[in-house]
Amino acid sequence: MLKELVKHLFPRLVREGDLRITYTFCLGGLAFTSLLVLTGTGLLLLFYYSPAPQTAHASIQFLETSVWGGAYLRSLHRLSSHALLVLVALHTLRVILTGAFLHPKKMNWLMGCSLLFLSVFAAYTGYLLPMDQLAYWATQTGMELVRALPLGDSLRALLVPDDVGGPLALLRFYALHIVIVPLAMLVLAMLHFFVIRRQRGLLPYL
Amino acid sequence: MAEAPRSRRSTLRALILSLLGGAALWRYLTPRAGAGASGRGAVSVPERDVPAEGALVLPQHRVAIVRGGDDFLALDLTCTHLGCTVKATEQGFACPCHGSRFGTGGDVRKGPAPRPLRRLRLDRRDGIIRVSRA
Repeated sequence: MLKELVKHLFPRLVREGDLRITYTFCLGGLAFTSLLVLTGTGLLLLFYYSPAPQTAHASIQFLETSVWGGAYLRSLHRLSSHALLVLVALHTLRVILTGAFLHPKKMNWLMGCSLLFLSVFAAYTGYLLPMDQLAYWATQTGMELVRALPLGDSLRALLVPDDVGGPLALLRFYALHIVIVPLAMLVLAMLHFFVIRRQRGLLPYL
Repeated sequence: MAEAPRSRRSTLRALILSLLGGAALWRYLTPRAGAGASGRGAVSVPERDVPAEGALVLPQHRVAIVRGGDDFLALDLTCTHLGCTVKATEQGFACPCHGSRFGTGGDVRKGPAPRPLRRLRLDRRDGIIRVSRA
């Protein structure tokens, strides 16, 4: 049964032109790879991070100084998050410049835009978690920016009910960062790939 | 992707259910105590702690009490641009985030701040100054 499953994951046929590297530069595939690295390193970081304002920073310091490979994993997580944003942006640019958002792929373009938005949101929610000065003030300014949006005050009340730096706000950013946003991204990415496969496109890995 | 046409009944039901669900989720996620839990309510200080022709700055409360002779003025130290806490300088206040400058009265000297610093309610009674964020 497993063999059958693996067999069906791969496409029946591949167009020769799709195999040229300059066709897509594999940017989407590389972005997905960063997402996988982020998931892996993030799962490991979960074992040490403590999502409370008083203990968050200390837990990160403990991870950095007393855990074998802790500093490496955290750097890798941070670096891959930067890579994901850059690659998703480049992928979007490639899609725009080659006109790949046009008719049959319109639905997939919209899903891709949602993925771009979710990547930025995941990065933003993750930025607060270390609870250092940079995290605090970046989130503070970001939450003021949100207020400029229509319904921005309501959105702010949902995200930071007890102001930036409060225990509820940190817990919400944590829940969004480790479950809700990544889950939405993985589900959307799978749909994104499903549509590509159905339109006979080429996928990363498979 | 041709979709089966939805009936009016199922559309209305979906609409009502999602509105009810959204309203319930909103109530669940906005606790009543949330808004006041920031712990930055009122501050009281003795008048003599404020230097004449100077200011007493309480960064942890984000409040400055500016004094010119016998006139007192309470300013909210939250920058009106993006909400950083401004720092007291010799000329007034400066925001470390994006470089806004304010005069000693809270007036904008240099952008990007769009408005002067917010003035807070200040009550003087028996030599005690009480500043509240009402």
